[in-house]
Order: sequence, then structure tokens, then C-alpha cells
Amino acid sequence: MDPRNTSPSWSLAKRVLFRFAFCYLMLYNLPFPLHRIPWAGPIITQPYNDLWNWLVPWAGKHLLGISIKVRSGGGGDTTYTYVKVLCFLIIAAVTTAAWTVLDKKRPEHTRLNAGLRVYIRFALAAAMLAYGAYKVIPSQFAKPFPGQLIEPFGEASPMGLLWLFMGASSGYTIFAGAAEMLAGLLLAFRRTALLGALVSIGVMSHVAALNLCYDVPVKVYSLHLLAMGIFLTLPDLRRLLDLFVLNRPVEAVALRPPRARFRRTALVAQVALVAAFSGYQLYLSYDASTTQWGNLSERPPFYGIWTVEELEVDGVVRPPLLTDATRWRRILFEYPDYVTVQLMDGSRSDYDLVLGKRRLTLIKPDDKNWQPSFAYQETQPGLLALDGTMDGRNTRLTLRP
Amino acid sequence: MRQPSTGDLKGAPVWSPAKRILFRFAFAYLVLYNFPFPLHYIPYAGRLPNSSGDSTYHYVRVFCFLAIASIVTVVWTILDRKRTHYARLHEGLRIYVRFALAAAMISFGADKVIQSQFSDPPLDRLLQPMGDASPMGLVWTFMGSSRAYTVFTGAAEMIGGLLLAVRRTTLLGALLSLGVLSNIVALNFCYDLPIKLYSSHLLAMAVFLIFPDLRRLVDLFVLGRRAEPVAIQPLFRRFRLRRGALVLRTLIVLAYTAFLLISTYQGNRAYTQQESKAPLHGIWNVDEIVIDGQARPPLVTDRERWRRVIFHDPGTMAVQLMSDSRVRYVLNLNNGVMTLGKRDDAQWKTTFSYAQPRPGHLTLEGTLDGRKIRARLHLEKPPKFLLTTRGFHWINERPLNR
Repeated sequence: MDPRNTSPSWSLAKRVLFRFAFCYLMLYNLPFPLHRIPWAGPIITQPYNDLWNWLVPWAGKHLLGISIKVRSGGGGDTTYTYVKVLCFLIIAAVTTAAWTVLDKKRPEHTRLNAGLRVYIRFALAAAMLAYGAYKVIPSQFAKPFPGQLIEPFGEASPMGLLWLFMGASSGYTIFAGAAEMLAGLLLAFRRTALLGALVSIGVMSHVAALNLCYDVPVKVYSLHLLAMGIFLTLPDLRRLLDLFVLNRPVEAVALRPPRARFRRTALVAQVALVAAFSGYQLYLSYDASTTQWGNLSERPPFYGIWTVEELEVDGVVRPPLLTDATRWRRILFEYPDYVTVQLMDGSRSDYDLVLGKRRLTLIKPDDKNWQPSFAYQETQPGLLALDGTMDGRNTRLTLRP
Repeated sequence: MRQPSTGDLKGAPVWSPAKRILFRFAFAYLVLYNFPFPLHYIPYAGRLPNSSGDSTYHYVRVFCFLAIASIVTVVWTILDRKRTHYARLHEGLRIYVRFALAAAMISFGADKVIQSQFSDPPLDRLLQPMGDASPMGLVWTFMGSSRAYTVFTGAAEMIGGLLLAVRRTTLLGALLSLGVLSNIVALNFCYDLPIKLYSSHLLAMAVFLIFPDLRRLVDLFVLGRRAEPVAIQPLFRRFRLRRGALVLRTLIVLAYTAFLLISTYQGNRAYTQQESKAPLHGIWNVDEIVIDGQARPPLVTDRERWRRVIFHDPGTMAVQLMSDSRVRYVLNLNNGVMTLGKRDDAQWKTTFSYAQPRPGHLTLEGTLDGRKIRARLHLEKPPKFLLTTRGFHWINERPLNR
């Protein structure tokens, strides 16, 4: 219970506003906390997600006349997400109307408000801890790949440039993640919740500004997290104003203590839960960074950029002239199972890679019959010689990193 | 004068010897570091000192400040043994540091709000491979590529500065500055920007301003206790003086802010106009180049051959080598003669003669690093860069992260 707002009765406007906020925030955050449960989470929440995956396309078709095919596209700002938010708004509005009609006599929602605040507090804390963990162990922004580094700035998308900027400095990424985790940890404890909400407002304003300015499709989510931080701060606005502007005494908030016999147990359980959750998120980030995109992944053989210094086709040398548009310029070995070939005109194509002990075969993904195969050997350190057949011609390449 | 209201207001509180020594040191150091503030801000009469930078000079200067402050502290401690506190001097120091920090935040912020610190990435930058950029160049390109983000960060700095300039909101301004400056310091250390010393000092100044209120903040935000108000004693006893000081302060802060915004805006506009009118502006492809009498075909393995020459602003010529790496020269065009220099080597200088036989065509002839160079170039069609044309999208079915 939050005794700060315990005015005997709330105004009608305040009650209606609260009901709407309650419905909308619950809808937006559900199925939290179930989906955060390790391993079991996705299974438990599947029926709930299925419901939305049915309802949102239905609403798109019948209310807006649009067909929705993509559900989530790696970020979140898909048509699906916007229609889902619209559904939340409609459902929250209808529920608010019905609730207001049915529950006319209730003068306030103090208890429910306290409950909602606890729910939002932990939902926001979990999001900040998870976001932060993915930066403290840099997996969200991995070190730039060689292929990115040879690309001109002008050809990057704004989002690509942001990713490169963050990925280029592990130190800065860890700094940003630490600020997010700090906000999450402060939010997770009742005493420091206000400070946590303020830190998360600062951090999330920055994140939302980045998303809006660099075309990162996490605008809807980051703005909601920012709004949740503001929601948690609202009841204390008066006290903050007293402290920071009006220089008035700021009364302590009487937090209702848990019953004495449970106090210690509750605190221990809370600390354990927060620690376990943070640890689990850090583990997830570590795990993600060992995959083929991550900083800690094992680099495949020949990892890096190789310049095709010499190219000989049927005994005829093709010098590395920029004007020879279709000549291979570079081969990028970035992943274990495919390579990227860059031509003299800058264009790139990916080929599946089969790497044997002495042979290297490329396969065109959309034309499996095109399979140039080369014998390879590192004639001297840092010099790779390929000898084989491509397009039915004897082809020899000398590569230098 | 500022004291905790719970303290004895009549008898001044007694400071411990450690606190007194620490204060003397802080006083000497902070005044040394910030001086000649505010004199150098006087329009026309003052001149900005070379205070932000991480050259050896700046480190030695800080070392000197530390040495002098230590000596001053020792002498002061010996001579001024009887004094029990420096409440009033502390109040004065706070005002000085407060306005020094506020001036820095407002000026930092104005440079960003008006887009002069980070301007749109120039053409040669847009053609540069990302891996060829220094970490600092990466930050500059990143910031410069979004006007909105630059304005956002500048606005946060200006708000911090303006809040600091008002006594009532000093704590709020100092806390906001603490947040903003932590980010700036982190950027400086992580991307090798040469403003580490200065930004760290500004951060320390924000901490210094927050320090006396730490107790109240901990009471409120951590311990759940009642936070007492601060007893603010007016600077002057006489109402008129007080009113006068308030009006003067408001006027100076407003004039300072407006002056910075307007002068930055004007400087920026002059630069942008100049830039678009730069002779030869654009990306020039090197069609033919003869080095020491030898025609050099466009081999990507040629380490000397030029691939493109890029003119963006009137004072710079950039050469893109065959490896796509970028080299910049200081440029001066005059009657068919271009003089090239190097920013980090004042002695280095060379001249080229240039001519435009037809519009869109350029010939250059001269000597570079002891080699005779003759080149024929043509103006490329301005490319449509994804970075500068992507724009804003509410809906992204798929993220465009490339």
C-alpha cells in the first residue's frame, strides 16, 4: 500500500485515469514475469502469445484493412507492434468504461495502485537489468566485423553506424550497460525505487533519443520503458519539487514494513531473486557472445580480409585494376560456413564455404551447381595461394591479408 | 551563507582539522584551475585560454596547479591555525565554481544545439572506409550524422548549465550535469578524445557542488528519512543589494546564453555558406595520373596512386588512395595555384597548378613528397549516401542495420 496518496477519496477523473493506466500498463507488460522464467518461460507463455498472434492480424484486417505478416522483425517497431498497441488502447478504453459503470461506488484504488506500482517497478527493473547485462558482457553490440570496417561511412545505415560506434568500444558499451543495470538494481528495492526510477528516466531518455535519431526499430519499447519510469516517479513529484526547487522539508515515506517474522526471509528472498535474475541475464549475454556473431566466439580459419593480389585465369593475369569491374577484389573470411567476395566495383556476394584440409569449395546459394573448388596452401605466413577451376577455367589466386 | 538548518545558526560550526586542510587545498586548486574565469568570457576584451586539451602542456599545467595548491595549503595551514571553519569562504567558492561550471555547460551545449561542434559529415568522410577512421573520427561522424541527437545532447547540457546558474536549482543542475558529464567523460576515455582532463575536471566540479547535499540525498533516496531544507542566508543583508544581484545575475546569464547561441549560429552559417560555395566542391575521380613520368593504371595494390580527390570545405583537400584510405591536406586556392599543407606539420608545404579545361574536368600538376605528379580528373555524380538519406521511420518491418 502506498500511503502517500491515501486521500480518503479520489476525484472521478483520477479514478478513470487510474483504471485506464492500470489496464494499459498490465496489457503492455503481460505476460511478465512469466516470460522471464528461465527455460520454462517461452513454453508457459505460448498460449498467451498465440492469442495475440491471432487477435492482432484479425484487428489489422477488420479494423484497418491491412494484412500483417511479420510479427517481430528483430527490433519491434513492426506494423504488428503498432496494431498490438492499438488493441491495447482499445481494450483498455473499453475496460475502463465498463469498470467505471460497474464500480461506481468505490472511492479510490489505493491498494490496487500500490499493487500496480510493484508490478511496473519489477517489470522495468527486469528490462533494465536485461538490457544492461547485454552490454556489460558486450553481446548486443559486438566488435565490428572486418566486412563492416571496409565499408565507407556513407553506405552505412544510421543504425549500422550506431552499432559500429558502440561495438568499437567495449569500455563505452560496458559503461552504458552498467548505468542500465544500476537503474534496474535500485528499482528492485523499495527504498531505492525512486532513485532507480530517476536513473532509468535519465538512461532511457538517452536510449529513446538514440532510437529515434538513428532509426533503430526499438522506439515503441524504449518509449514505453521511459513512460514506466515516469509513472513510477509521478507520486513523488511533489517531494522532488520540494527538495530540488522549493527548498522545503521532505517528509520520509512511511513504508509499511512486512510482518516482523517474515521481514528477514522476505529480504533474503528478494536479494536472492534479484541476484539470480541478474546472474542469469549475464549468463545469457555471455552465451550469446560465444555464438558466431559474438566477441567470444571462436574465429574460423583465415578469419579476416584477404586482398586478391594476383588472379590468373587460364594462364592470363588479370591485374587488380579498379576498372575491371567483375574481378574479385577481396575475400572476407568472417564465418565458418560462408565467405563474402567483393568485386572491384565494390559489390559483394556471399557464398557457402566448404573448407577441407587442403581444398576450399565455394557454393552459390541460389545456384548450387556453381561450385568453384580450389586447392589451397599457405605458401608463406600471410600469403594464401588458391589453385582450382572456376567457370570451367583454370584459376589461380594469391591472397594477402 | 549555507548551513544545515539543524546546526547552530548563531555560533558557526567547528570544522575538523582534516576538513579545513582539505578545503584549503580544494580552494587553491579549483581557483587555480578555473582562473581567469570569468574574465576571459568578457566579450571582445577577454580571450579564451587554451584550457581544454590533453597535450603534455596541459598535464604539466595540472601538475603545477597541484604543486602550487599543496604549497599554498601548507603555508595557509601554518598561518591560519586559529580559524575553526571556512563556511563563508566555502560559500564564495561554491558560487565561483557553480558559475564556472554553468558557463562551461552552457557553452558546450550551445555548440551542439547550433551544430557547430559536430557538423554534417563531409564528403571525404562519407567515402572513407569505417575501419580507416580513428575512434575520435568515429565519434565525430556518429554525432554529426544526426542533427536531432546532437541537439538532444546539447539541450541536456544547456539545461544543466541554466539550472546551475540559479541558486535554488543548483543541486538539480549539478545532478543533471553529473549525469551528462559522466557520459562525456566516458566518451573521452573510451574513444581517445583529447578533452579527458577538462571533462574530468568539470565532472569533479559537479561532484564538489553536490557534496554538501550528499547527506540529504542519501536520507531521502536511500535511508527513507526526512530530508531537511537548507538554510539559505542571503548574500547581502540589504534588500536592494539582493534584488540588484538577482537582476544582474539573470541579465548576465541570459546575455551570455544569447551571445553564445547567436555567435555560434552566425559562425556556423558563414561556414556552411562558404562550404557550399567552395570552388571545386565535390568528388573528383582520378582518370589518369602520371607519377615521375610514369602513367599509373588504377591498380588497387598501388600504394601511391590517387583514386579520388575530394573538396568539401574551402580549406581542405582530401585524397582517397587506391586502398580507399584518406589523406587530408590544408588547401589554399589562388589563381590556378593550389598550396597544400599538413595540419600537424607546419613546415610541410607544396604547390600544384590546376586548371579546368571544361566544366566538370580538372587537371593538376605539381610535386608531392619529391615526386612529380600530373593528373586528369572528372567530377563524379554526387552519390546518394544511405547514411544521410535514410531518414526517420516509425515502422520498420525489419531493422536496417548495415
